[in-house]
Amino acid sequence: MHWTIEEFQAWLEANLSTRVDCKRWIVMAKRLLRSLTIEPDDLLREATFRILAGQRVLNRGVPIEVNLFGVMRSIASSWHKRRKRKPEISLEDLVSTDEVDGDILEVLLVPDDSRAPSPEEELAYKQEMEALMAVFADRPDAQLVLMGRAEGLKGTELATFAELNASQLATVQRLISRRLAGYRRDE
Amino acid sequence: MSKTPNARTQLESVWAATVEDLMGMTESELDAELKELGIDPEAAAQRGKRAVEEATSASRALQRAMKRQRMQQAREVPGLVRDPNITADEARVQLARLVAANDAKLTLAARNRNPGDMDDEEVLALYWQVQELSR
Repeated sequence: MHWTIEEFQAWLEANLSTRVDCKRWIVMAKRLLRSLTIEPDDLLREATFRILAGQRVLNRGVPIEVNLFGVMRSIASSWHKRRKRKPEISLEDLVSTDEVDGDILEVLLVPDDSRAPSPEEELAYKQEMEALMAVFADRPDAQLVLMGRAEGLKGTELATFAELNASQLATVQRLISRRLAGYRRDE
Repeated sequence: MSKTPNARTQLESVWAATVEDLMGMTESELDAELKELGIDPEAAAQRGKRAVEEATSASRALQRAMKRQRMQQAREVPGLVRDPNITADEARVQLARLVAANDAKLTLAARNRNPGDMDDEEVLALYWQVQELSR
């Protein structure tokens, strides 16, 4: 099941029309682009356009904002890959790149079809989870929070699980959010 | 703790947490990070707004262009070439077969008529109308 373009359009009007919201998504775009010499608004524009044009479909299993993040992350990832393969690529060609390869690890974009994953898929998910944990090898507190989130914990439950107070938890979650935006499997 | 979610759900939860944190950021936190990233917060707000507006108008333009293309393609479908060798008698025979078969291409009125009772002009008009519908 997918969110419709009309639903996305309505979400845009309600959630991406204020100054604060725009700043929010520019922050995320910049985190995803990191060293790429592309403006963060280009990434936001491309992701929004591709969804509105029906070139990317939205997984109804997760909220629309998580989908937008997933699409931005996927596009940024294809730009990083393309730039790595062809460093001399023009900005215009790079921005028009969109390599949708049906990567099963793009779990935010691929609807869960409720079938049991194959052993290969299960292994791939577990390896990806381990790779994400390895990003925080220097921060055992972040690894604990990540484990708790993976188990579905939030708020007080998560803080208790990670043995942190609310303020410490917020700081660690911010660190996780920033580092994960920069995570790419092929690096 | 309840049952451990499967590996896919675990991954989904971790990525969703990244977005939840973003959605929970206050304006002052966003401004601080933008400055840290070397971006003027006010310029970021304007550029973000413009990006969404441009994406919206570009997608509308694309949809209009696709609509025009579909209309153009529909117009370019050549009309049915009417074979001059089809005589009124031949048309009557074929229509009679369709009537006998109660074919859905015939209107209810046409199905209740006997092609043998129609004049040449009428039977040929109905025959070619059915051919158009069959395309």
